[in-house]
Amino acid sequence: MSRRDEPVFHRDEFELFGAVARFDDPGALLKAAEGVRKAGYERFDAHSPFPIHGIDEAMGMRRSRLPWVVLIAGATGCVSGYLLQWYTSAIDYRLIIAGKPYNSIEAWAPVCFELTILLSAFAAVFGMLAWNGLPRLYHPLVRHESFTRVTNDSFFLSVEAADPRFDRVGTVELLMSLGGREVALVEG
Amino acid sequence: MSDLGSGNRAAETTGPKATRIATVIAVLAAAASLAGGAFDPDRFAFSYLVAYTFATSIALGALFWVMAHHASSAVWSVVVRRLLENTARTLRWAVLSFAPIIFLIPRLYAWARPSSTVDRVLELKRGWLNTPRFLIAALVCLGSWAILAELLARLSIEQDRTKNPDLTRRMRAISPPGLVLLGITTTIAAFDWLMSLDYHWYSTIFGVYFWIQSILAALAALTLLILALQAAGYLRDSVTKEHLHDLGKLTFGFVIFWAYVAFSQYFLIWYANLPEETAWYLNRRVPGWNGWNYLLIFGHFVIPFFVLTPRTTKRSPATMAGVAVWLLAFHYLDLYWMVMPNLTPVAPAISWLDVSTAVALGAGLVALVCRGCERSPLTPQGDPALAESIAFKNT
Repeated sequence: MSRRDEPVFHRDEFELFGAVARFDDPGALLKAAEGVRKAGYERFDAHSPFPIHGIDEAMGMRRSRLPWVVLIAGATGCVSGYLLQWYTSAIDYRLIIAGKPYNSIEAWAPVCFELTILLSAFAAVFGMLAWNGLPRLYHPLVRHESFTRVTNDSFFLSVEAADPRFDRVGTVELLMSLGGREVALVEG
Repeated sequence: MSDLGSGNRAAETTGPKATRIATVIAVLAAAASLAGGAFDPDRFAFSYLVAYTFATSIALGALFWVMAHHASSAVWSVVVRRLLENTARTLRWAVLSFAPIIFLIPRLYAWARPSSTVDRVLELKRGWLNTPRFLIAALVCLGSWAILAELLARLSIEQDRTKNPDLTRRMRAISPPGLVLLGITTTIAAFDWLMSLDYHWYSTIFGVYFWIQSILAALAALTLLILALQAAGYLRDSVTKEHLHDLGKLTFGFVIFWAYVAFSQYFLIWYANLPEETAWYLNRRVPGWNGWNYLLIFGHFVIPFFVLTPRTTKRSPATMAGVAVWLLAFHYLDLYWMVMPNLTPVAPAISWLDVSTAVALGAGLVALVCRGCERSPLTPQGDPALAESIAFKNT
């Protein structure tokens, strides 16, 4: 494919990932994210070496739906823990233990509790990874010349070509007008 | 009253007014309780014990939060710490209001009554269950709480004036040993005041149970105090939704912790099935009292759990105020369930003395906290982390 030092602007036969711009400080990134959102874009992302307060609001991020998944997983854990113990102890293989009833809810509580926690935690961790598209070994943005600085001292904003408002000239101009440096198109 | 980024000016008069109203209510209710107590001293004794442990536990929980704040070098809670200090500081009045219990010991505690029959269990426990030891322990517990609360509040108020960051270091040095002392004394107080009502029974987790109740009740009281002050025009610029959200998260956590401890105590006794341990629960599973168990399971755990689960309810002042009132009510009902089956074993018999004693000590606590709020700024003005605390945000 293309080499790094080739001028990306003059080629249009490859598939585009999108446009990317570098910013010098978190404040500039916040402003740019707000500008891009106000211009009507939806498929864009901010990249920073550390979490920035207010970036969610600036980008217009919706609340994650993950809590609902966690709730359902937790309830599943609780119910399945109960059913497992009820079936094995009260139906399938009845044993009198310490003179207690076959179906002793008190005795089932710890297992139900632990399974609720376990499945909730799994849902939270793995759901978070899945919705973030992780683990991911490659990302088109690493083609940008200085993108590695995102783990050090620079802040980036990328707009995906898949956004309906994306335009090779218009989006790049927008990013430049918002104070972006090293604005470039990145191939997918 | 002064406040960082002051609220509205009209609020300046609400503080003293609230103090006056609460004082009048407390005095009237106390007079009614004493008059009623003259006719039914046994009822008065048990009602007073429930009301006393209720009010004291809120101040005790506040002392825990002040020390937990310092021990963990917390920042977010700096802005609410003065309110906790004011609440904890009322513990010196808990020393004074312990006085009626001293005179009521034989009415409350069967172990203190002379008996013609020999109780072997009691003979074995005599070394602990005797009136002089009970009084000394109460003095040590209440005294150490009052001193710790006073010390931490005074250092904090001194810092308002001097802005000396070394005072923060001193408060941080006091708090970890203070927490250890609090853990031991709270356990002793819970064993003496509540568990020894039924002196045959014992539960090693009982002290933790009482402590968790106190911590949760103090959180609810703090939330209510903040929202009341904000409704009156104070603290609007300093305590934000983010702080309310954190209080909601802690309340949610401690609701679960309460259920965990309450269930653990029940579970181990249920499993081992030893007669001297199960008796306490069997006394509360008689037909008359059995409904109370479900009331606590649903009212103290299930309902608040689901109400506090979503993020939106924890950030809503109206919901949080409702939850706080609800939890304080159930804290009282929980203590009532611990104490009252000793007086009316067949079924609960709610008396107006229950209400009047609770109102007397509850309104007394409100009056003392309000008076504390009038005497110093509502936020620790000299704390180096105050600005950072106000700017706090949940991510």
